[in-house]
Amino acid sequence: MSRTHPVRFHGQAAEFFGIWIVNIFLTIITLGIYSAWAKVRTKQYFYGNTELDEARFSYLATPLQILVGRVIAVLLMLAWFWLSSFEPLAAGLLMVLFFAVFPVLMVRNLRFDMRMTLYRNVRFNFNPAYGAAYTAYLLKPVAAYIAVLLMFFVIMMLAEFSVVIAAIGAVLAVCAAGPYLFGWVTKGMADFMANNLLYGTRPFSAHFSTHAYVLIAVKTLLFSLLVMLVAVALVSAMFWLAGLAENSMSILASLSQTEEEGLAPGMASGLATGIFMLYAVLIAAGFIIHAYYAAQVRNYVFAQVTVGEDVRLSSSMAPLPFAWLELSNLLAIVCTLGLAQPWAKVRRQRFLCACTAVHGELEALVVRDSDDEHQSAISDEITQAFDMEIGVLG
Amino acid sequence: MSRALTGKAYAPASSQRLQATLLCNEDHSVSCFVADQVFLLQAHELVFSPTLGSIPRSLALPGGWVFEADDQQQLQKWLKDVAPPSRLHLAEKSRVAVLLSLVMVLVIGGWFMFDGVARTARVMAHVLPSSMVDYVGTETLVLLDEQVFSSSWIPDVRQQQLCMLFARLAEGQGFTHDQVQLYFRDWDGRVNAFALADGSIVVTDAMVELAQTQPELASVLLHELAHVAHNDVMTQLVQGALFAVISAYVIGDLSALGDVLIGSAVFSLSMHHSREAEARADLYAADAMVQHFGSREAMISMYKRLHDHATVVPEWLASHDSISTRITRLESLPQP
Repeated sequence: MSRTHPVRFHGQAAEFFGIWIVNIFLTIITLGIYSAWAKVRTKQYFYGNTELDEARFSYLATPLQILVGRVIAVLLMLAWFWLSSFEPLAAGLLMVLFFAVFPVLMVRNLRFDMRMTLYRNVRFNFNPAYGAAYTAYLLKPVAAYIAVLLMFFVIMMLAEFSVVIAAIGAVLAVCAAGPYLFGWVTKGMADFMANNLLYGTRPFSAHFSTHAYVLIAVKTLLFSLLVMLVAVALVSAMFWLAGLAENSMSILASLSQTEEEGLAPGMASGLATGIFMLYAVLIAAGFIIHAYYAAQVRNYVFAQVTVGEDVRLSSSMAPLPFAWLELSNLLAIVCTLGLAQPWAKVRRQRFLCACTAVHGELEALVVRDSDDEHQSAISDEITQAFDMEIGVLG
Repeated sequence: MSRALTGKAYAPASSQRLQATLLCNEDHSVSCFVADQVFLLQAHELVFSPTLGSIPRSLALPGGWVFEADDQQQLQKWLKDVAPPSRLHLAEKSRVAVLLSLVMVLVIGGWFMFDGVARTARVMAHVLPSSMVDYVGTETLVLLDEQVFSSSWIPDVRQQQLCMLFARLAEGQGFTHDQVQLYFRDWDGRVNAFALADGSIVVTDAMVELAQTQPELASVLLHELAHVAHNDVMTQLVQGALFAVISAYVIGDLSALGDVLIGSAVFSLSMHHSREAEARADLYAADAMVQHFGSREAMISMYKRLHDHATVVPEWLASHDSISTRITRLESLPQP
C-alpha cells in the first residue's frame, strides 16, 4: 500500500509582505546590490515554507553567488544594448550565438536551481548530456519550424491550382499537422527534463507519449474555439445592452466617422469603455485557455513521473480555478500598483502546493546526496536577465 | 538548567531520518545523541539556519549532520541566547519598520515615476549617439511618408519664402543651419505640425493655409523649434521605454493583460509629461515671438484659429492641454 503525502505551504501573505517590502527598500537604498540578498531571502521563504511529509525544503544558494551571476548578466545586457545601437551586425551575430549556446545555459541554469534545492538533507540535481539538450531545445523546434514553412509554401503552391484543395490543406495543417508538431516538440522537452532530474543519486523517470501531447493540443484547440465563441457572444450581448442604454448606432457610426468631424467627448469615452470591455473579455478568454492547457500538461506530466521505483507524483490542477487565480492576482497587483505582489505570490504557491501530492513510502526513502562541485549562478542569472525562465515542476 | 530537545537527525548527505536528542547546557555546550553516536560540541561550532518568517530552524553539526527539533518553541527559547534572530528578521517582523519601509518605497517610487523617470530620460536622451537620433528621425519621416503623408501642393515660391522665414527664426534661436530642417507635407487636409527626433520639422499644408500672416505661422514653427531645443522627442521615446520596463518589473508579468495595463499606465504617465513639455514649448515660443516680432499677439491669434478648428478630444486622452487653456496661459503672461 502506498501512502499519499500532500504538499503543504505554510507561508502567510502578511508575514511575507514584511520580508518583501524590507527587501525592496534595502534594494532601493543600495542601488540594486541588495537584490541578490533579496532573491535568496525570498527563495528561502518559499522553499522553507513548503512541507512534504513533515520535512521542509530549503534553498542553499548564497547571495554572493547570485550577485556575481547578476553582475555578469547586467554586463552582458549592457554590451548587447551597446552593440545593437552601434553595430547591428555584431548584435545579430551575438543573438545567433546566444541561441546556439541557449541549451547549455538552460542546462546549467536548471542544474544550479536543482543543486540549490535541499530536501531532507539531500539535494536535487539535473545531469543531462548536452547533446540531448540540443536535440530537445534546438533541433526539434527548428525542424518543426521548417516543417511549418514547407507546409505554408506547399499550400501557397496548391492555391495556384485549386483554392479548394489549398483550403483543405490549410485546415489539415492547422488541425492535424500543427498539434502534432507542437506535441512532438513539447513532448521532447518534457522527456528531457523529467528523465534527467535526480533526487540525490535517485533518478526521476517518466515515459511520455507524443500521442498524449497531441491530444492535449487538439483538446486545447477545440476548447479555445468554444471559449472564443462564448466570448464573442458575451461581447455582442454587451454591445446590445449598451445599445439599449444609449443609441448604440451612434457609437458604431462614430467608428466610421473621420476625425475632422470630431467625436463628442461622451461618445469617445463611451467608445473607449466599449473597447476596454472588449479587451477585458478577450483577456479573460486568453487566461482561461492558457490555464486549461497548463493544467492538462501539468496533470499529465506529474502522473507519469516516478522517483526511483516506489515514489510517484500527482497533480490535480483544475483549469478554471487556476485561471481565476492568475487573473485575480494580476488584477490585484495592477490595482495596488504592485503592493499585492506578496499576497499574490503566497496565494499562487498555496494553490500549486494544494494540487500536488507525492505517493509512496517516503519514510523508507533513503537516498545519498551526489558529490559536491563548484556551482555558479552565472547561467541562472543570464537566462533570467534575458527573460527566459524555465519551469521545472510548473 | 540544561534543556533536552527530542528531534530528528540526518546523517551527512543522507535523507534517512534518525531519532535524536539534543542536550543544551547552561554553559552553551551541547551534546547530541543520534543512533549510537554522541557529539560533544560548543554552541559556536553549530551552524543555525537563518531566521526567516516562522520557518522552523535547524542546526548543522560539524561533519554534515543536521538536527531538527520536534518542538520548535523549545528550540527557539534556547536559540534566543545562543543564536539570536538577525536584526533583519526583527525589522521584517516589526510593524514600525515595515510601515516605514512601505512609506519610503512609496515616496521614492512615486517621486521616481513622476519626476525621476523624466529626469533620467532627459539625461539618457542627451547622451544617445547622434547617429541613433538621426536614424530615428529619418525613419519616422520615411514611415510617415509611406503611411499618412502625401506630397505638398504648396507652390515652390511660397515654400521658399517660408523656408527663409524658418531659417531666420532658427538662426535667431541659436540653431545652426544643419540642425533643423523644414518639410511641407499634406496629411489629408489635417492641420498639424511636428518635430522629429533629428530636428526635422513637418508642417501640413492645411496648417500653412490656416495661418493668415507670417508671424502666425512663425508661432507654430517656434513651438516646434522649442521641442527640438528641449530634445523633447527623444526624451519622450526614452521615457516611454523606461516606463514600460519599470511597469513590467512592478507588475512582474508580461502576459496579455499585463501588456494592456502597462500600456495604459505608460500612456497616461507619458501624457502627463507631454503636457508639461507642451507648456514649456509654448513659453519658449512666446518669448521668441516677442524677440522676433515684438509681441505675442500673432501667436494668440494663431492659437485661436487652431481652437476654432480643433477636434474635441476628452480631457484625459489629450496629450496637449486644451487649446483654450493654453491661450489663457499665453494671455496671462506679463506684457513685454
